[in-house]
Amino acid sequence: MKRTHGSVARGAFAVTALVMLLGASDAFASFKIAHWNVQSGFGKGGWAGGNAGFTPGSDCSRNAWGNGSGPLARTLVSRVKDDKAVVALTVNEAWTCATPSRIRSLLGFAAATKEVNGVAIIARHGFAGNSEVVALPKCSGGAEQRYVVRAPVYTDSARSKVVQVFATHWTGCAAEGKATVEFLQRYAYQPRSLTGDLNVKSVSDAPIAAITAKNWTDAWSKLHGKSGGQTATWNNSYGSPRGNLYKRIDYALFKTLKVRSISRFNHTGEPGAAKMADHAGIVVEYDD
Amino acid sequence: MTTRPVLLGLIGAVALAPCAAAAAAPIHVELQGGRWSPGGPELVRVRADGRPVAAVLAAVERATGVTIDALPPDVAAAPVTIDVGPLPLDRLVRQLVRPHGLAAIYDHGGRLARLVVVPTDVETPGEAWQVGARAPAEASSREPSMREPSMQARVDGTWWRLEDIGPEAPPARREAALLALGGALDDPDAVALLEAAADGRAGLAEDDPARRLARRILAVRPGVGDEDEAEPSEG
Repeated sequence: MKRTHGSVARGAFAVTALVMLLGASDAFASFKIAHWNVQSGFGKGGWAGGNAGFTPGSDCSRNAWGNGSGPLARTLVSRVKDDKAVVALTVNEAWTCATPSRIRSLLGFAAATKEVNGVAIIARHGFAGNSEVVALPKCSGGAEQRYVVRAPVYTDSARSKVVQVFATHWTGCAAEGKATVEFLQRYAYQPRSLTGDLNVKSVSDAPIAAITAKNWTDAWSKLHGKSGGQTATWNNSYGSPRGNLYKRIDYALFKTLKVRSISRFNHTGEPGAAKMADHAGIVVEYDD
Repeated sequence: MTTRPVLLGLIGAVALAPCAAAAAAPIHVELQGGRWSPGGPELVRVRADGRPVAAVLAAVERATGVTIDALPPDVAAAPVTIDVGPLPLDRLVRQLVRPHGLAAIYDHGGRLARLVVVPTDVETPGEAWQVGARAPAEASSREPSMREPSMQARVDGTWWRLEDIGPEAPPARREAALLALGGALDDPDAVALLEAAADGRAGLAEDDPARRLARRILAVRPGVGDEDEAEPSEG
């Protein structure tokens, strides 16, 4: 009997430990979504001189894309491919050199949506269904046609969990915000992420307020408050010192998700020195 | 007893009058037919008194939307008295700058969007004062022309012209031309062609992929503002 009691006790302890371990493991499970306005891979010229290791411009072999081996491509590998938690990369201005198909190939990801006006979603474990594109109202007669792309993205290699990933690149008017949130809310109650260069300088501005009014949350604001987090724009006439990043216009908004962290890349360096892209990228982490 | 104060007052008035007139006199720019529309018959009339050439041309720029390239500093500061017109814009600008030995020429193809001011005693626009920090531009072998489009750029031995980036060119040729020009952003002629593609002067529609490509290429240049700066949030 003693032996039996001992076995039961040991078994109970093992089960408890396993449950605790699984619980702890589950508590640490997360996935990440990255976003970057890759500026076609052209790079952004500067005035500070020095050897940037690439020549800003449209030559895909010499610019920041560098036929898949330039600094922008290497950063995509280190910040997106090598971080196994990143399950999706949304891109803006993915034309000419740094196209979605080339980036997907570089990263070894399973799938990419089609590109619409430079916007696309690239997924490590693939999509759980078809992607979808919605055209947004133009902000003015001369404004570009903008879109929102959606894809159901697997968050695990077993392809058992899905998050609805939305990507866009706005001109930055209220009409775009209104149309975007209508699209987002078609997938109510599902985990959803919206990332993109929204060209809106404050989360309280009308275009984004249309989204947060539906209880969407801006990841940066939630974790870091309403200041900091600048993502744009390297080496133009603004910023302090001149050429520095000076505005946060690349956003990660979410709903039915719990955010853990948000970080940036390509956000440090000397203003005026050539940069691999004129925007910083962002990586946001959610509980799985 | 009263002669001295009156005399001093007169001298003061005479001395101050030109300054007061120069500071206060508004520059009148009148457009016949409304805002300048490229290629249209609109005429411009300017009335200014004793104002610097640069100020007069800036007023003309604001009223017409046509860019007038930087003047040499000594000319820009020279006061002018002008009440002419109505004249076509290019002739008006020539009239403004001709007393200083300068002429204005077009540097675009087909539609007036920019005027370049050049000395009249040179044969090539290569000696023109170009936009901002690009002055002076490298020499070019092209002859200046008042009306004839002259936009062309040589990149790696290949000449690219306006027709290579216009709507009549096959898309593949347009893209090849723009990408080649994008590899020569230190060449003002290449930049001028790219700008013509980007801002519509080459005849490309707003949503034409080639036009967007040109904008993206131009955005690579340091100091170039964002697209969204020109189109701010409504929020």
